[in-house]
Amino acid sequence: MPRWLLLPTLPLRTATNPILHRELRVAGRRRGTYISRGAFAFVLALAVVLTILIADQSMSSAATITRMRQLASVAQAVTFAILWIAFLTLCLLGPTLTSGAISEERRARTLPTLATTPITAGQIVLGKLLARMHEALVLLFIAAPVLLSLRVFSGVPWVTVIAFVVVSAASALFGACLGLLYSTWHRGSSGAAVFAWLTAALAFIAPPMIVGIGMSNGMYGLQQLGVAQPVLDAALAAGMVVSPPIVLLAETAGAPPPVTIGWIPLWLQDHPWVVTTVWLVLLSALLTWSAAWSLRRRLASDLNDAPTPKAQPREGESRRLRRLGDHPVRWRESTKPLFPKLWHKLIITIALAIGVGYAYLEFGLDEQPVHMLFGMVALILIVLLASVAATPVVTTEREAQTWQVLLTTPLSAHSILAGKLAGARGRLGWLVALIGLHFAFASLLRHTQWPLLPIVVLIIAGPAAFYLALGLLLSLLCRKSIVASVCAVLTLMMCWVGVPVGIGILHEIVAGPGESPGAIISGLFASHPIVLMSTAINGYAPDAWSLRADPDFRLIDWDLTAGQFFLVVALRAVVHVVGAVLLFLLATRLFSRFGGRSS
Amino acid sequence: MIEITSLTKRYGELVAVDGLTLSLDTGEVFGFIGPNGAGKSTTMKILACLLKADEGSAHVDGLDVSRDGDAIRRVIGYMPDFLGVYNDLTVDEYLHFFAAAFGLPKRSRRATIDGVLELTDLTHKRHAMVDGLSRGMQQRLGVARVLVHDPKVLLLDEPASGLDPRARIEMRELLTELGRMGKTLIVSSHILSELAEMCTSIGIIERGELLYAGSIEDAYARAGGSHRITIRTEHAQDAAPPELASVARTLAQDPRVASAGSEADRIDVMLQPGQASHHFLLERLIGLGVRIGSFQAEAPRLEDAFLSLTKGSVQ
Repeated sequence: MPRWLLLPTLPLRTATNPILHRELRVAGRRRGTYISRGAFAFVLALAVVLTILIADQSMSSAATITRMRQLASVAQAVTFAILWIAFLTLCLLGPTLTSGAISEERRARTLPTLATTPITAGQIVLGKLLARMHEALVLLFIAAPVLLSLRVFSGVPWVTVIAFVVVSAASALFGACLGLLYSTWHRGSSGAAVFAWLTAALAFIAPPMIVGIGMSNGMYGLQQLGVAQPVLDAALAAGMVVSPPIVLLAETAGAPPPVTIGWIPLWLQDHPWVVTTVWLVLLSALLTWSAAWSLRRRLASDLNDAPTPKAQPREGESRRLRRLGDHPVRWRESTKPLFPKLWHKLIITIALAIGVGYAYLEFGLDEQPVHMLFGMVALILIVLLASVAATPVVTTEREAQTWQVLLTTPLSAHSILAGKLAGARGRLGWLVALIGLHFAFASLLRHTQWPLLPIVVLIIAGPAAFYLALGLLLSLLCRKSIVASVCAVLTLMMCWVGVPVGIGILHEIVAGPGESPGAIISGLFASHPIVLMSTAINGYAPDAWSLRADPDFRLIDWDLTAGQFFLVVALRAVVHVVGAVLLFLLATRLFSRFGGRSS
Repeated sequence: MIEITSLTKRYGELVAVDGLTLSLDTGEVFGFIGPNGAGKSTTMKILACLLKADEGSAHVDGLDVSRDGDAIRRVIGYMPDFLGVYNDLTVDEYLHFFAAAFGLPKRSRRATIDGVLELTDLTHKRHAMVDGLSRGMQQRLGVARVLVHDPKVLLLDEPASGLDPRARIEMRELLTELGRMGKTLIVSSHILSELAEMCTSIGIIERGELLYAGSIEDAYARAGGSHRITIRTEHAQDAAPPELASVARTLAQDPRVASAGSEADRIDVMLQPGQASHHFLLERLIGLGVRIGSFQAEAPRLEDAFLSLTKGSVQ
């Protein structure tokens, strides 16, 4: 019987999927399931309490129309903040939930057992996906009453709330499918999660970027080649619509659709999130199919291929051994390649070459945007990677059951942890070197001033050191590397996004809307690494025609000299490094208790 | 070499080790026997400074496991009941890693590793990836790893588990050789016959309680383990055979015999516990005119002693 004839029985086959049943039962027994639901509900409840506080404050003072408007405006801000938190959380959660789905089975060596049953690779993939998406849907259900109650205060249209909920769910599904696909390739769940996050970010950001750059360049000369305007309009609209953050930003701002296309129904043009959702669901279906195909191949190779002992060239081995010295943990970490497979290296090299080459050719080193782009991308990417680089160092040893063996050696806690940290730091070195090369090159060609290089390094190195140490501590405290990675990324998001937004909202509540922030709040904002990076590049890499001998720096409310600005950057870096040292010392203190040594 | 006194370890309400007291001398090869979940691995982990005991004390080479972890780790070699190997290293790199971890001077590492590779018969695999080794070879690599720093005490948790018969025999020979080298070994295993051949003493543990610790002979005696003799008779054409039932009754009257019985052409004799010599039976049978077809003596088995001393209950 052709397979497509079985399609109508899909719901029945899904409902009786044994993998789905097992996953749901296991998730129901896990304490973490209820902790994550509780934490999510707590964050949302906190937002409601804040809104009620605002309402209470507004009502207790003179109940004028102005105060009511202010209340509605703040409540609207809180509603959108919650909607965005839900969207970002689900985007983060999607890959996290599924990144260990297949790799855990491989580690537990249960895949060959599953392969001996009539369960197909498609059923395994679908069962795991549905069971884990169930958790994301539960979180959305938890958010629903909160969002509806907030809508009463804020007056946000219900269509907007629905758009956010649906697009968030579709984005989570897309991320989950990506995580599942990577899980069939990777041995570690945190590696699969990181690659899935990066791919999702690329899929969300790249299309509007390509279209945006195209708009400023006459659509890459396609107009001159005679491509019809309606086709270009459709391409432009498609580039925007396939990006969930862009569509949700438009919903938040209540902005009109970017382009009007005659042949698309008007209601669809007014609600582009419907297209976004359909697009994400279609992509998810394709990814699920790919994951099933990849798993089928893996099962076949696991069962049929004889284990082939890998030969190691003696020359390479002795060269590696010469570096061993008296620090075996550091040596071992350094032998782990950042990209284990050749095709990984090829893809990364080609992507970097295209990105850097395009930026250089399009803008040139004498224009400020290229430095801003490099600085910002490097800062965010390095700190994000730093936050997850050290999270698997202990957990993967635990998962591979080598940790206990390591603990029976006389290596001290300090020696083991320092070795692990050095290895994780080393894996980020190439990215720091790359950004250093860019700014050194620009400085040599006199397109930027030389102090920009050390300042950029200081701005990046401080937070990177801090989040590396945090990742190490979390790796010691958590049993699973994926949990440690998620905690690290959430902490980073909380510190870089949550705290500034929270402070802003609290300021609105305490000081009243529209009041200017005090020196302490301004200082906190001014010392944010992104603000520092932006100020540094504005100061030291203005456009070539305005390159000055004595640059000035406007940091939020303060005009600083170069020396003062350097001091601010250095102080911030010192604070981060001190924090990193304290986290490292805390990890060594907790080593026996959480690492598993009795004395 | 090892002194354990009233050692107790609890996991919530479960008592994994319950007041265990044990003393082992230098060079002793101690077989730790017990059902799954009896407390063998927990005891070994406490000795390896991986778990903290709730009560009692344990000393290895005069060092307290609750205080002198750093010093004890240099004295012991612990091999857990799982492989725990770095798959992405070669055999040589793996051993060099642990040689460095145990602080062996750089100049002596090569010679030491050559020695342990030879002892464990892995020299020809030194450049192979650990990932590509068979399970038996990975187990031998585990033993090589614990020997790198020449420890006085070896704690080997189920070293022969999951191995095929040939690999098991090789592992047994390797451990016997280590015993000959004067190392103190604690070996846990489910294959009791192997422990009987290899160990100088055994300990039987069940539900965290040490039921027995001492020599294997004493264990047989304690458990009532006896030598069993099976005699098959032949009929001569020219003479009437003696009645086997009466022969069995006569043999049973001997104080060295616990019981005797007959069935068809066979006489089964159980000797008294501790009675290993059985030549007197032959003399009596010949004297009674029995034509002996075969005379088979079976020594008591460790399995019998184990079954007799334990109740078969697990936690």
